[in-house]
Amino acid sequence: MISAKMKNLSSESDKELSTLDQPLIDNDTDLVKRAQNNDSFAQYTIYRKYAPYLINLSTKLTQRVNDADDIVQEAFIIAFDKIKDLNNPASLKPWLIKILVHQVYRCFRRKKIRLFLRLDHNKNDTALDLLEANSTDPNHIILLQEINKKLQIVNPKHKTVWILHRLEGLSISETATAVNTSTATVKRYIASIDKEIELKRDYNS
Amino acid sequence: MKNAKELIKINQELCDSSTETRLVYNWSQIVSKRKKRKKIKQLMVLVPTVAVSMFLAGILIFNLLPSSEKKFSAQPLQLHLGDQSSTITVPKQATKNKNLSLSDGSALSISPGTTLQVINNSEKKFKTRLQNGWARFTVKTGKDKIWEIETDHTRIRVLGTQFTVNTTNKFTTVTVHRGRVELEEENKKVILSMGQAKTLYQPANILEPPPNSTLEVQIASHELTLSENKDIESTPEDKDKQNVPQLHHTKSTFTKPDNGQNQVNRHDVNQLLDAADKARKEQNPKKAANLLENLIKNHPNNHIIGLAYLSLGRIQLDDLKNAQGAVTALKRAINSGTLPAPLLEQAYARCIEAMIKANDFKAAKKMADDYITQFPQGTWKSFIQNNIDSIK
Repeated sequence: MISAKMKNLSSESDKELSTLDQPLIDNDTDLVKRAQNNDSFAQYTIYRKYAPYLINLSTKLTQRVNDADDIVQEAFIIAFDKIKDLNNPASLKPWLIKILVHQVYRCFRRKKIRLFLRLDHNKNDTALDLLEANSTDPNHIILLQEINKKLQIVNPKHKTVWILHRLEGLSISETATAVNTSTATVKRYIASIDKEIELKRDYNS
Repeated sequence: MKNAKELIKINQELCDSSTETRLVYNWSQIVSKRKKRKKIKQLMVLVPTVAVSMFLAGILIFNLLPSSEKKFSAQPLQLHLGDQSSTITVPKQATKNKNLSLSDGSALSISPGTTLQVINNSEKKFKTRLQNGWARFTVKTGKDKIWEIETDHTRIRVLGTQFTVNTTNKFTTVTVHRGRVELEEENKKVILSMGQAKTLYQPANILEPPPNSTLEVQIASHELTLSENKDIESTPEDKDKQNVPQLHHTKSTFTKPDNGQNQVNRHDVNQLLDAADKARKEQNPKKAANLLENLIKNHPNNHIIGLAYLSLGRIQLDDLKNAQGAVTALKRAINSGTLPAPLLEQAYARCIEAMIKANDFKAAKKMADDYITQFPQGTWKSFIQNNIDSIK
C-alpha cells in the first residue's frame, strides 16, 4: 500500500528533495533559527535528523506501522507550525518527543473509541520481538517476547512512560516532561510495570 | 530477574524500522498535508469575510435602491402638497385598509369600499370629502393647518388628533380617540372630546359637491327619510315597537324589482338591506333573515355588517323566537366595531335579553356589567336592569 502511494508521490518528493540538495547542518540551534524563518531546507534537515528515531519510538509505542507513520507526520506538521514558539533551540529533541507522545495519546483515545464502536480489530502488527535483528542473542528474543506479553495488558500511558524510560533511556525528568506529568507519577508508573515484569532495579535513574 | 541496563542495550540492538522508503513517504505526506491545511486556513478566513461582505452589500443595496424598497416594504401612499381633486377609492374586494400619509406627518387609514376625495391640500388647509365608508384620521398636532372632513351629514373640523369617521348614505358616526373635533349638526357646532362618539342622521344642507369634482360616488343613490323622524336616542320601548330606522328607505334611484328574493342582486348591499326590510314588514321574517344572512355571507368586510347582524339578531329574537341564534348574531354585531354608539347600546340590550331567554344568566350578567362600564349613562340602562332583576 505504501509502495503504491510512493509511486504517485515520488515525483513530488523528488522535487522537494532536489531543492534541498545542500549540506546538512548538525547544529540544532542554527537549524531551529532557520526553520523559524520558514526555511524548507532547515525543516527537511530536522526531519531527516530526528524522523528515524521518532518513527522507531512511535512504532514501539503504538505497535502499528500505519498508526506510527500517521503520528510522525502529524508530529512534524505540528512541530513546523509551532516551531516559532520554541524558545530554547537546544531542546529540540525533547520538544519533538513531547509532541509525538501527545499524538500517541490521541491515537490511544481514538483507538479506544474505535474499539467501543467495534471499528477496530485490536491486532498489533509490530511487536517488540519482531523489531529485533536476526543477529541478536536468542535469549534477548525470549526476554523481549516476555516483556511484550506483559506490556499488552497494562495501561497504555504506563506503558509509554516505561518504554521511554526503560528502553529509550530517558531520565525520569525527561520522561516526565515528555508525557507532561510529574516525576512522582512517572516513578509510580514505572514501578508498577517493573513489578509486573519482575525487573531488577540495579541502577539509579 | 532481568537487568534494567541490559534492556537499554537490547533496545539499541533492535533493527531500525525507519527505512528510506518510509522516510521519503512520510516527508511527502507531511508536505502535501501542510499544503492542504494551508488552503483550508485561507478558506476559513475567506469564507466569513465573503459572507460578511455580501451581507453588508445586501443591506446597502436594500437601503439605496428605491425599487427594492418599494418591492419589499409596504410603504403608505404618499399625498404631497398641491395634490387636489384626487379621488381615492379602496375596492370592496380589498382585504386590508389603505394607508395614506401626508407631507406634514398626518396619516389616514381607509377601509375597503370607501371613497375619499381630497378637495384642498395646501399648507394652510386640508379638506376632504368622505363618501360612504370608514376612515381613521391621525392628525399631526402643533401645525397651523385647518383640517376639514365633509360627509353627507356633517362637516368635521379637527382640533386634534385621532378619530374615526364612519359614513353611509344614512348616517355618519364620528368617534374621537385622542384630542377633539368639531362637528356641525343642524347648523350648530358640537365639540367632541376624547372617548366621545356622535352619530348624525339628518343630511346636511350645507354641503355641495365641489366644482370639477371627479368623485366616484359608489352608493350615493339613496336618500334617507326616517319613517317617523325619531331621534336615535328615543326610549327603548319605543324603539322596540318600530323598525330600525337605518333599514328604512323611501326613495331609491336604482331600479329594483320587488318580486322576491331571487331578483335581488346579492352583490348589492343596499338592495339586500332594502329587501330584508321589506320582507320583515310583510311579516316574512324567514325571508328577511335569509336576505341578511346572504348579505353577511357576501359582504363580510363591509362597514354595514354590524347593522346587518343587529337586524338579524332582532329578527331571530322577536320573530323567529331563536334566542341562541339571536345571541350569536348580536354578539357579532357588538364585536364588529362598525356600529354607532346608540345602536351599539341597543345591541347590548337585546343581546342581554336574548341571553336571558336562552337561560345563559351568567353571560347576561357579565354583558350587563360590560354595558354599565361602557355606557354609565346609557339610555338602555333601566331596560337592562329590569331584565337582570327578572333573573332573580
